[in-house]
Amino acid sequence: MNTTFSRAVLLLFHVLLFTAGCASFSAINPGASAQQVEALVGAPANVWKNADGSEVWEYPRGPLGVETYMVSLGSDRAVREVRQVLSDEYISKLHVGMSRDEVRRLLGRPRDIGFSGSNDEEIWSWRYREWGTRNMELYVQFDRPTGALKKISRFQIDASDGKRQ
Amino acid sequence: MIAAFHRAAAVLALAVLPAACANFSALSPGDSAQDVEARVGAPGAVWKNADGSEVWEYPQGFYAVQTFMVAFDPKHAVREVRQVLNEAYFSRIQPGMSREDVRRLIGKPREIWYYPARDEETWTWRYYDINYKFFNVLFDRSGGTVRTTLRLDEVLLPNGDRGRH
Repeated sequence: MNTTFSRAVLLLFHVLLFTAGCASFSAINPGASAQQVEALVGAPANVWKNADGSEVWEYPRGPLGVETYMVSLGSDRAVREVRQVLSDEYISKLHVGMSRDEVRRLLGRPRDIGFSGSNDEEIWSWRYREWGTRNMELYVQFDRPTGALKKISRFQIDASDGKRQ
Repeated sequence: MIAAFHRAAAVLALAVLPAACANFSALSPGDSAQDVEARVGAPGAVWKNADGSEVWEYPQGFYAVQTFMVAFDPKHAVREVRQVLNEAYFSRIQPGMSREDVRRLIGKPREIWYYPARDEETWTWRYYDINYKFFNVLFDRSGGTVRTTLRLDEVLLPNGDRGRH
């Protein structure tokens, strides 16, 4: 009796953990309301408001996750589209000279922000998955005095250090 | 006339070539410190040991994938020459080692980045092992000890840029 109960609790716990862990962005359909979005995936980490009243809600799954979702809402507060932006499609839009704000709007919050010891740079990094399998790291280096993007680097994480994931 | 010009160009090329790539394979055990300086120039750093032996460090530059260490015995004769940017040396780096331990083993890093949020300092070396790769040593910044290591594969970007310059 006791063991059955604890097993049931454990199972329930796991189910809750699982559903909480992967909020289902695929369940958000165009036309859904802002309330429905909040009910499905919770509050966004950040909200970008545009002049026309439309908004973009940002959901980074990092630092442990490798995805960041952007939910676009029209001025009527209905969902226009849901994008997973840590992918080649969006990363390839980065270019030299972009501001921090532009990068943040494109890819969302970085996993980590670092600094260069020697040349006054700020380095934003993300982890993402390419083709569903390859574990990648993205580094975007900004010149600190001007705030402009200087360099974009992408790396594949070698399997020999797979333990650090 | 043109042949003479070509001959002159060939002689010039021969003169330039050895200067451009210092020839560490020309060093032999038993060579004196003077021989070494004459062949490969002054070292980037010198490590002195208690017994009078020394290690001279020759990083080959920011884009290079080799760093040479010339070890001298207490009588200042060459004992060995080793190229340290490879797996044989990387695999000796263990959690808990100090910055100096790492520096003495594989030489000066090309870049040092730090991440305040994780109190982490990352040292990076470029190397070649089938592909161009980056070897990273992640230190606990305030403790000054190795946390872990990370190997990243350089990825060729679509615009022809390499992952990290």
